[in-house]
Amino acid sequence: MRSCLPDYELVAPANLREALALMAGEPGAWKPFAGGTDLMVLLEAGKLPHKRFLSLWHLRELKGIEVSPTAVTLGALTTYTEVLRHPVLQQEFPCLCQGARETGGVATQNRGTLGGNIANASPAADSPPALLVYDAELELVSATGSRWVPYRGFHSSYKQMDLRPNELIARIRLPRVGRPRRHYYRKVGTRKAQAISKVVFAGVAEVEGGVVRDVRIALGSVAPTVLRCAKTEAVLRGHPTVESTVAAAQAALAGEIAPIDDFRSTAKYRRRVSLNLLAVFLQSCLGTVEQGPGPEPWYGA
Amino acid sequence: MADNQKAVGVSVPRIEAREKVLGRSVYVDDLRREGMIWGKVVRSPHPRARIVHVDVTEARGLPGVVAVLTAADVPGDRYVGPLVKDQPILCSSSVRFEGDAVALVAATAEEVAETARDAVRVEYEILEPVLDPIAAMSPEAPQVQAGGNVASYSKLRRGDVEVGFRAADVIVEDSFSTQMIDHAYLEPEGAVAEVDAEGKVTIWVCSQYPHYDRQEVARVLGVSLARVRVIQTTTGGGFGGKFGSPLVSCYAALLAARTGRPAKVLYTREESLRTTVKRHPYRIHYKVGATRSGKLTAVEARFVGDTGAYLVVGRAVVGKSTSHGAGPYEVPHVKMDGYAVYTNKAPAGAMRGYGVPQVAVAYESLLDELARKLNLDPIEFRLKNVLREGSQTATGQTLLHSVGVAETLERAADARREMTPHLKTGKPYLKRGIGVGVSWHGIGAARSPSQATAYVNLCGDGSATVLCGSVDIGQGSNTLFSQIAAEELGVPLDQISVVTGDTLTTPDCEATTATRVTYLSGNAVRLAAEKAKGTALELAAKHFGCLPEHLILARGKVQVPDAALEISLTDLFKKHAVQQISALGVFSPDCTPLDPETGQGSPHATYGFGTHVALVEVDQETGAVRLVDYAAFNDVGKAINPQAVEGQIEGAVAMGTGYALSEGMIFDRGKILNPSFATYLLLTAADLPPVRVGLVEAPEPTGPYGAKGVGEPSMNPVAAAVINAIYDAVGVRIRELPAVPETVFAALKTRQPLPADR
Ligand SMILES: Cc1cc2nc3c(=O)[nH]c(=O)nc-3n(C[C@H](O)[C@H](O)[C@H](O)COP(=O)(O)OP(=O)(O)OC[C@H]3O[C@@H](n4cnc5c(N)ncnc54)[C@H](O)[C@@H]3O)c2cc1C
Repeated sequence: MRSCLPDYELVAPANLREALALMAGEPGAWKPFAGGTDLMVLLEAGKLPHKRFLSLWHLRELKGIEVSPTAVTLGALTTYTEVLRHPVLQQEFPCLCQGARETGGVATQNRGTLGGNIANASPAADSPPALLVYDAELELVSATGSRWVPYRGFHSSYKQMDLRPNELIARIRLPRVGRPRRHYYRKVGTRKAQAISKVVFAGVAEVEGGVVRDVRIALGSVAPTVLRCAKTEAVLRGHPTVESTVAAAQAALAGEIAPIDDFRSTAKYRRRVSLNLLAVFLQSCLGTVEQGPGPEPWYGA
Repeated sequence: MADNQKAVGVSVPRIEAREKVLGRSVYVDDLRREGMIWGKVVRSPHPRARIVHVDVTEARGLPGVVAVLTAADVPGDRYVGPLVKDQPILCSSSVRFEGDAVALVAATAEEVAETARDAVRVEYEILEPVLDPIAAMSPEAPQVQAGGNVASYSKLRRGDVEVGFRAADVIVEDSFSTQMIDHAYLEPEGAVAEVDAEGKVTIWVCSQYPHYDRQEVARVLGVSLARVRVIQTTTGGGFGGKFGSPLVSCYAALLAARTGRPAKVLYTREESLRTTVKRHPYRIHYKVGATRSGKLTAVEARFVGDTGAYLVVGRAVVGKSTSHGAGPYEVPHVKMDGYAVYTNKAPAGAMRGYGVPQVAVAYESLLDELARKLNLDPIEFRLKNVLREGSQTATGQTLLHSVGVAETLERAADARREMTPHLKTGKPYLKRGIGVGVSWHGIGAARSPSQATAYVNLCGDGSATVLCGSVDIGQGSNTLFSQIAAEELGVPLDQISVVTGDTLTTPDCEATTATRVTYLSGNAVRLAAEKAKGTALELAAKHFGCLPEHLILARGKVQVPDAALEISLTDLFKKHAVQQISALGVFSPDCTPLDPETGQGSPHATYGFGTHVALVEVDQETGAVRLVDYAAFNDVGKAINPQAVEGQIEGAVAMGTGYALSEGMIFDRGKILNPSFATYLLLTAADLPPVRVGLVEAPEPTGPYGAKGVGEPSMNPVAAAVINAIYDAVGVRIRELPAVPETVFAALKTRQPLPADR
C-alpha cells in the first residue's frame, strides 16, 4: 500500500550543528534525508518505517569537493552530476566518475548523493566498489565530535554499518596517489541506465614491466555487502599478469564472493561474470587504460 | 489544395502537440468532480483459489468509506469480454489469477479507500495453479475455465506438407518460447464516472474503444446503450492494452451508480502491471523446408498461446499467428495449428503485433538457419521467396497490389552494406553481427464485416468538422483525419476540427487496433469529405451552368479555373438555402473470412510489410547485448504524415528491442515478482541508437491516397532482426526470449565453434 504524505514530518535545520543537536536529543528518531532517491522509493512502496525526517539538502557543511595535494575530499551531499563533471576526479578517480555516469538516469544523478549511496548500504550500489578501490575514508560527525574511519570495513553485514544513530556521514576522503595507475570499472545490468547491477566490478592497479606492483579490487552484488577482495589482491601483488596468475586470482576471487540467486540474476551467472571481468581487468592492465565500453557515436546514414 | 499546398504526404506536427507539451491536455488523472469519491479494487493474492468468505464489515465501518461492493451488488451482467463473456467484474466463487478482482471499495479520499481495501477480509481455499500452458492442455489438468483449458484452436491447411518436405533438400526444425510482456504505456488505466439527474451515466476513460466500454458498462449496469455515454480522455498510449478490458470503466460506473456520486478509479503502475492484459507468451515449434536452389517448399508449425485466466481476444491473436505464420513468403505447402490455452495468470489480450511478433521470431530464425545451410545470403534467400504482386499467401489470397516487401529487402541490403565496416570492435570479447527480420501484417481485423464510418460537416466558410469513432491514443490519427479532410476540401489544416471518442456524437468505428485506423477510418473520412465536396460542386455547377468535374473547391470558394470565375461557399449556400453540407462516409474492406477447417480465405484487404536490419554487439564476457545500429524499411503504401510514420517506427524499434532483450513479467508460482518499472525492464534512450527509417510506398489502390498503416507492421520484425544479429555475432541461436545477459551467456557456453572467426 502506498503511503499517505500528511502522516510524515520533515524538518530542515539551518546548519549542521542544529541538525546534529536534533539527532543527539532523540538518537534514531530523525531519519536523515539527503537527495531522497532511496527514501522516496520506499515511501512509494509503503515500506518506509520512519515518520520523521531531517532534511540535509541545504547543509552547506556537507557540500563541495575540495582538492589538496594529498587528497580529494567530497562532502557527503556531493551528487553524481558533480562527481562526473569534476576534472580531478575524472583524471585520478575515473572509476568513481564511471560509476556516477552509470547510476540511474540524469534525474537521479542530479539528486542522489554519495553519502546517501553509502548509508543506504545496498550491496548492489554502484559507487562503493569505486570508493573501496580508492581507499576512501569517511568522516562521521555527531554533536560531540567527529571521527575518520576507513570505508573498507564500514559495512559489517547486510545493511549493517559502523554509523551510530546520532551520527551523519560528513565527508569522503580519497587519497591521491600521484603514480600512474590503471583503472577498470564495469557495471553489468540488463540495460544501460536505470539498472540495478547484476555485478559491478572496480579495479585499480599499478603495473610495472608486466608485474603487478599494487592492486585493489572491489565488487558489488556478489555478497551481502560490497566487497573489497583482499585475497585476490594478495594473489596478484608482485606477480606478472600472465595466464597462470590470472587463473590463480580467479580461483581466489571465486572463494571470496558469495553471490545469490534472485530475480535479477543467478548466483552462477554472477560468479562466472565476476571471474571474467577480473580477467578482462587484468588483460587491460597490460594494455592501455580501460574503463569499460563507453558510449559510441552514431555514424548515421 | 490551393497554392499547391498539400496536406497529405507532408510532415505536419500533431494537432494536439502544443497542448501536450504545455501540460494542458486533460488525462483521466487530471479530472476532479464535485463530491468525487475514489474507488479501489480488492484483489486476490493467489493465482488460483476458492473464495470461502468475504467479510466487508470492518471496511464498511471505516469513516469516509461510502461503498463496499461485491459480486452480488452488480445490478446487470457480471461477466465481460470482447469475444466471450468469461471475465467476472468481481469474482464470487473463485479467483483465477493473482490480481483477480474480488471487491470494490470507495471512499471520500484515496488514502481512506486504500485502507478500506486492505480491511476487506477474504478467506480463500488456496488451490494448485495451472501455470504451464502445455501441461494445461492435458485433460487431466485442473480446469481454469468450465469449458476446458483449450480456449481455441485455429488451423491452416494449404497443399500437403508431406509432399512439401519430400520435395525439400534441406529441412530445419526448432522450438522457441516467448515471454509475457506488458504494454507499459506511460498512463495507467483509469476512469471517472458520473450519473446525471436523469440517471444517465457518463464515463471519462483513457481507452482505445469507448463504444465497447459503453457496451460493457450498459450490460453490467443493466441499462440501455443510450443511457451510457463514454468520453475518451487524452490517452497516454494503448498498444492494445486499453482495448478489450473494460473493467476500469465498469468499476467507476458501478460506484457512481450505487452512490450517486462521481467516482474515480485509477490503477497504480503496480496494478496495471499485475492485472491488466498482456502479450501472449508462446511456445512454438516450426519446421521449414527448402530446395537446394533456395525455394521454400513447406512450413509446418504448432504454437500455443498462453491466454491466462480469461480469453479477452486470445482466439483472434492466435488466429492471426496462424494466418501470418508462413511469413510474407510464397510457400506451396503450409500446415499451422494454433491454440489459445487458459492458465492461472494475468489475461493476455491484444498487443501491437497481435500474435505476429512471436511467430516472426521463429520463422525468421529458421529462414536464417536455412540460408546458412544452403550457403545463401539471408537477404538473397528471402528475395527468392517473398510475396510479389500476383503471389498467393498461405491463406490462398492472391495479392494484386501494394506488395512492397521485395523493395524493403533490397533497401535493407544497402543498409547492411553500410553497416558492414562497423563490425569490428577492437576488443576480442566484443563481437558484432548483423541480422535481418522480415514480416507482414494484415490491415484490420481478420473477419467481416468490419467497417468504419465518418461524418464531415462542411461549413459556409470552407472549414469543416470531422466526426469519427476511431480514437487517437497518441499515434496521431486525429491529425491524419484533419490532413485528409483538408486535402479533399482544399483548406489549410487549421480549418478542420476533428471530433472523436465520444459515444454520444461519434459513430462506432470499432477499436483503434489492428493497424486499421489509417486504412479504414482514413478512407471513411476521405469518402465523407469527397461526398461533401461533391455536393458543393454540384450546387456550384448548377450556379455556373457547367459540369461539376470542371470545378475545384479551395479555401471556401468554388472556382471555374478555365473561366476565372468563382463563388464563395457562403454565397452558394445562401442561394440554395443550405446551412452546411453534411456527408456520411462508410468504408468496408473487401475480405472473405477464413474457412475454419482450412484457414483459407482473404482475411485482409491489404497488408503492410517490412524488413529491419539490426547491428548488435555481444559482450562474450557477460552475455550483454547492445544494439549499435538499426535500419527499418516499411512499406506503408503512402505516408500521409511521414513524421508520424517515422515516430511509429522508432517507437516500434524501442518496443521490439525491449521484447528481444530485456522485458518480461517474471513469475514465481504464478505470482508476478516485478510489477514496477524498476524491475520490469524497458529499454531506455541510452540503450537505443537512432533508428534509420526508410519508407517504401507501394500504393494500395483501395487505401486513402494509397495508404495502408504502420503501427503493427513496424513492430513485427524487430525481435527477429535482433535475434538473428546475435547469431551472426557469436553463433548462438537464442530460442527463448528475452535474450537477457544470463540467457545469452548460458547459450555461449554451449556454442559450437564459429565457422569463421571475425
Ligand atoms: C530511479 C533510480 C535509479 C537509481 N539507480 C541507482 C544506480 O544505478 N546505482 C545505485 O547505486 N543507486 C541507484 N539508486 C539509488 C539512489 O539513487 C542512490 O543510492 C543515491 O546515492 C542515494 O542518495 P540520496 O541522497 O538520494 O539518499 P537518500 O534517499 O536521501 O538516503 C538514503 C539513505 O541514506 C541515509 N543518509 C543519506 N545521507 C546521509 C548522511 N549524510 N549521513 C547519514 N545517513 C545518510 C538516509 O537516512 C537513508 O537511509 C537509484 C534510485 C532511483 C530512484
